[in-house]
Amino acid sequence: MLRRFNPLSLIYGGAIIGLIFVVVSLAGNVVGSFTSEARFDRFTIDAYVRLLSDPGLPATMARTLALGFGSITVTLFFALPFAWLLARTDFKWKTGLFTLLAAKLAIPGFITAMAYVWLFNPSAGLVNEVLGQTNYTGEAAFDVYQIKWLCLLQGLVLVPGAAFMLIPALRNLDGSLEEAARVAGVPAWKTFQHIVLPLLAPGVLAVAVFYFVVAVEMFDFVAIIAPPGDVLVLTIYEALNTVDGLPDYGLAGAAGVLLFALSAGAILFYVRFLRQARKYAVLGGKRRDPGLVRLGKWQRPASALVFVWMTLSVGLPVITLIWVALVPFIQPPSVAALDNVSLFGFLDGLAYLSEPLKNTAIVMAGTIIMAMTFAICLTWVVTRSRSTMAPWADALVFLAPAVPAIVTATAFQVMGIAVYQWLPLYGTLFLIMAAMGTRMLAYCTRTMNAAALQIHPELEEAAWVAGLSKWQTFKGVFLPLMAPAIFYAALMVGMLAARDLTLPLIMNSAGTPLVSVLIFDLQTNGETASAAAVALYMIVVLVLLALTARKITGMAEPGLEPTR
Amino acid sequence: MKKLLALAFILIATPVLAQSDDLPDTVRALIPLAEEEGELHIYGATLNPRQVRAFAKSFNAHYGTDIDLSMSGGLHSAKASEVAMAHRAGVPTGIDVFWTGLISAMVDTGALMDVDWAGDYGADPSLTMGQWGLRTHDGHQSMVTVNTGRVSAADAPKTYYDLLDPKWNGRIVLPRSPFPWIAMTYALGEQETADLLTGILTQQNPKMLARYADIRARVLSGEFPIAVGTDIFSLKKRGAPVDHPDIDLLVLSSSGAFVLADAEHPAAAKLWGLWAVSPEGQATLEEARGYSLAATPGTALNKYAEGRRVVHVPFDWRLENHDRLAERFLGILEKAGG
Repeated sequence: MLRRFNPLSLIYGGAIIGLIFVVVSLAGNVVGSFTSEARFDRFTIDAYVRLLSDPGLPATMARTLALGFGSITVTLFFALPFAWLLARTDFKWKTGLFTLLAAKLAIPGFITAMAYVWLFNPSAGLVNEVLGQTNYTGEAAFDVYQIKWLCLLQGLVLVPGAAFMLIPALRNLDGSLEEAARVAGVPAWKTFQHIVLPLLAPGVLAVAVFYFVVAVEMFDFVAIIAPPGDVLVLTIYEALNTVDGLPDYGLAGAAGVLLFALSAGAILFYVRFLRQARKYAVLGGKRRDPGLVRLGKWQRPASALVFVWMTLSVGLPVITLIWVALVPFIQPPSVAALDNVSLFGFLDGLAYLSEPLKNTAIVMAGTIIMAMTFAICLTWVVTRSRSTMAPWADALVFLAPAVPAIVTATAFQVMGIAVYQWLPLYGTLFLIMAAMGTRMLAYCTRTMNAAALQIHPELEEAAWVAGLSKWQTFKGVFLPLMAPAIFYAALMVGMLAARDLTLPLIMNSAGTPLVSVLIFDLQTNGETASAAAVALYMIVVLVLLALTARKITGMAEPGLEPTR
Repeated sequence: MKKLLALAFILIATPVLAQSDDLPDTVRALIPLAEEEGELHIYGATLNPRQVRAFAKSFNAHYGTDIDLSMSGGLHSAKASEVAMAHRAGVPTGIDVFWTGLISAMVDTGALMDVDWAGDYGADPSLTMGQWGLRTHDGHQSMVTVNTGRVSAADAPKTYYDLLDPKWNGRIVLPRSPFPWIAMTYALGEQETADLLTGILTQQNPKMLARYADIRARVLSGEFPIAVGTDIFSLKKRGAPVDHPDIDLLVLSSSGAFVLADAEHPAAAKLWGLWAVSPEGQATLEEARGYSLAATPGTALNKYAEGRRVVHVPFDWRLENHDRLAERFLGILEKAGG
């Protein structure tokens, strides 16, 4: 006798496929750490012996931890107020702030780093030269080559993602709690401190843990700022970029496992936290729309905070990009350099753009579809199923960003090669999208879990009592309530997919041109003007896409809930 | 203007050369096969779309063909390892020619096709790289670069040992890579090179960066007046304030065209290698990336090599000594970096 098909199995199926991809990435790292000479059929602990016997390892670990904590401190300093301003207040520059956050996502990391090197390097940094204090003349006023600058820059860059991650959680807060505080005469700041922040705890903790993992794995800034002393990601990069011969997957994998270890403590804490999830559920059947907090005299300080971040994070890099696009080779701005200014870079870049832009759009769309499908399924399983395995599945997903991008790329390539005779995905854009989707899955589930945890199960229980099946409840109650989280997760995935370089560079055997690879090619080739121009075009396209998406999905009314 | 003239030369000269009859019969026999194959994918140098089109145009004009040529680049050692794995598993990579100097990962797994470039196709025997490759350009990653705005020609280093002059303390940028020092070992001797590197690292407080593009950017901006490990011929051509100083020694290690054992377009792949060493191919490589063989008359590298002691690092020597020297120099670099 045929059993009736249960549509919920689609959700479990989606979650399992997502988990399989995550396992490919994690296993690639762990298995790689036991390999020798890039052979995946010979195992040894040699890499661990080499890594652990390195006398410099404790200092490397300490610097890596400092980098992680320093970066998330800067990130939260800006992201938390920005998310609150966007979701819960009558801040007058909301569209501007949203646009800036979206623009920042589209700016290549190396440009931000390069801009700061020009301004604050101790030998010839413009600021130091203006002050007459370089290390040619004595001691430089500013020295960008320090771990604290690395923390500042990485922290600034991570702000948009963190803010987008926090917005859904803020939008789901029950306004009646704040209203009660207001009626009782509690000042706005104390309400934020004692009511909003504690209720946001899962979301804030998720952001902090997630971005700690991301911050210790980022390479762009480490490569360009290159502060004294190693950090783990540099060990990984050097192991995989050998001069000749085989990449040292063993050492890279072992260093990756150490990154897991650094991340694992924070993730375990988060998993324990999730067990008390119900007490953070504030979006129930009797929920009131939160309404907007009137900023009044705080409009100006809020604008000032946005201005500071905008200048440091968007203004300087964009001005740098424009300057680089106008001159034939990289040079600091000067009166003499003005003689070389031309629009050649913009015209040259435009001539290259059509084919890569089309392919990038395909990759963006594919990655969003994959990441969103798996993330929605995983979030539902983690926050709605009663399985004891669910928190551990969530922790597994959480670890995925700790796998360096280059290792993820290699793991998916190895998988592609291994299953080629049954599934010829090796060398296709599909495999790149799967790898990208997997790396971004943790971001999506963090954003969605925080929002899902705020939805009180009583809403779904009411739907079941009213006769709706679990599948109908998923479609009719769960998904609509999750709309803001899904929107912001999709936005972030799309932006990062468009900008990602490592995965396409490693995995794109067929040489299908993508915008990020085009920028890399031009930059490597010394054609910095064209590279910068292409990057500027990309920023404009992505910001327009983000604004359009925000409008057509009904997320354009800041602070208001979408139709439920 | 010079750029336009060079391009004009290529465009005008190549059709004439294509009609010439001096191609060996064995090469002529490849042409119809390559035509039938119709496509060719090269993995190697990063080029922009305009440059890829220039490569395709010159290549097709040289043979009178209409082959769809595509090119991609990236991290060579990681790609070589992936190609080796794919070859072992019998999975096609889509790559016909691996254009590089880094091949040892593929040698071990038999991922490269044996090609007798000299015997079968009349190539210059001095250009062959083992039983697989054909040397297309000479790598010069051991070169010194100066920012001419910051360092006068008189003041610039004249030997590698001048880099130890205290006046360059804090003024040198170099790659966190043993590559320049491996090649230099063949010319200076192993202990001498190790001492030189150790001296630079311990006495001169250099900045070490992971990526070559960043090194070029720093010397271009004048932040560091001296760079080791990168060439700037193409930047200089564009008027950038950088130059290679008048150092007595030029150390060259080769890069070449390697046809993959499972290439889907082997005839076109071989034709590409032969085109790359032809005058038209050399002109195109020079125009696009400043690449050329040091022996090709008129190229920037050829002019720089004139009157200097030129040392070619033999391909076999590199294959034999690479791992050991990489470990030794990496150890020295890591000690200074960590």
